[in-house]
Amino acid sequence: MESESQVKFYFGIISAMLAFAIIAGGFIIIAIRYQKRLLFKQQELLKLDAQHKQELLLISIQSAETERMQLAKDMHDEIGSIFSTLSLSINRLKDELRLPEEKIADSKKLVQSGIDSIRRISHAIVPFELELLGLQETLDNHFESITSISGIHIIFKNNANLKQLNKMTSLAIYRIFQELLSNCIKYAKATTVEIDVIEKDKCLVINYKDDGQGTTLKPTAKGIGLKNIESRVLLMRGDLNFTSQPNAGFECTITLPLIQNTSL
Amino acid sequence: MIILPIAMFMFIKRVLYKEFKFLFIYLILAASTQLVSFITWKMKLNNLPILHLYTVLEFLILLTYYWVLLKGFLNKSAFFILIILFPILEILSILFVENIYQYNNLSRSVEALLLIFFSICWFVKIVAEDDDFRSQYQGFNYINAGFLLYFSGAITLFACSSFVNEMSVNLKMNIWTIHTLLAVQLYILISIGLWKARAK
Repeated sequence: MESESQVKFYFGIISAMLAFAIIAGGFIIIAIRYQKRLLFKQQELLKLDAQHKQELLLISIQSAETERMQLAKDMHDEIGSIFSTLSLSINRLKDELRLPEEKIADSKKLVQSGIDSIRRISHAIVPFELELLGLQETLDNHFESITSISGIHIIFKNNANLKQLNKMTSLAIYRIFQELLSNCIKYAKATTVEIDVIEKDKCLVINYKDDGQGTTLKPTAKGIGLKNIESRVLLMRGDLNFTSQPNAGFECTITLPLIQNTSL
Repeated sequence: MIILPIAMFMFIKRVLYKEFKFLFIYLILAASTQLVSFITWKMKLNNLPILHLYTVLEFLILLTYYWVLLKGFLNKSAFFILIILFPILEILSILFVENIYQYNNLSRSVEALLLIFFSICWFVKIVAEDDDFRSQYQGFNYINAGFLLYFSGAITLFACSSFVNEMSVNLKMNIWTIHTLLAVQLYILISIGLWKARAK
């Protein structure tokens, strides 16, 4: 039989056990909540940091584009107008001195070649036709000019609606192709490039493949060209994957979410 | 119930941090002690000497576990002093305070008190340390919460167990059932902690 003192002692022990367990539980809850709050703050800071980096990247790309635009405009307008004036001067000289056409033909050809070069270089720096013709046609023209310069056969298959892309994204995609093809001409010694553009799961997927000599470059040791591509893809909140092996060509897949990159 | 964290450990041991090996040794010790105690109880033998030995080994293993876990947070020499002093305390208490065939109130209470202190230190450390540490070691929170709850709840029982043993069987059983529940929550929280603390 249990005596009264035993029962009192029994309840005393149980109360003490429960009280200590509750105090410990309370302490644990406070510590974990405090820890969670700190983690939340840390994540917020990381988010702000990532946002800040994104903004810096955007500013640096935008300022580079503005500078390119200015340079192309100056070249086109100022040097182009100098060549045009020079052409007029030659014609006036020809009339004043009554020179036969064949005497000034070489000079006129040189001036025309200068005008053409200025136009070609300024268009290469800034694709003025992007706004007028749209990305699809601009890319077609660009690929044609690459083929005529380098002899690389470019197979471009587009199954996506590129018209829905906003101006910044169109320019970024154009720049990415410029960078990829420039790398291809400089290092790959490729003869054929295949480019597929499709829409999949509300994303624009760009597949690039060449039959060049490939590279041993690891994803962690990218060159400036690839880093530029990566920066642009990152800015569009996209994803970039590339694979390459020596003598096995270069492949690259770029996935861009359409929701953030359309003009809608 | 102790099988649960051991099984969990075996299942995910390849992806666990090295700190967990001491926890695994502790779990194996606890499981084997429970088994031996059960056998001796069945044989109607007094198994309290096993508890004296278990207390010392349990404390030394958990002390090492916390030593690794709280590295750089607490004084190194304090751990070494405890490693030497605790077994001495147990021997002295057997010689002068409690019989080896009686419950070891003193050493068990001191052990509980120290482990409560260490588990509180863990929670203080996670608040004081940098952010990377905090997110990396979240699984340890569960394990330390388990130890803190177990030892906080059981310390009164450890301190008063001689008196508890003099109670009627009914009351005694009730109190030891609460102790068992505390142990069960410890093993569940260790299992959750192990699962959460898998190295990424």
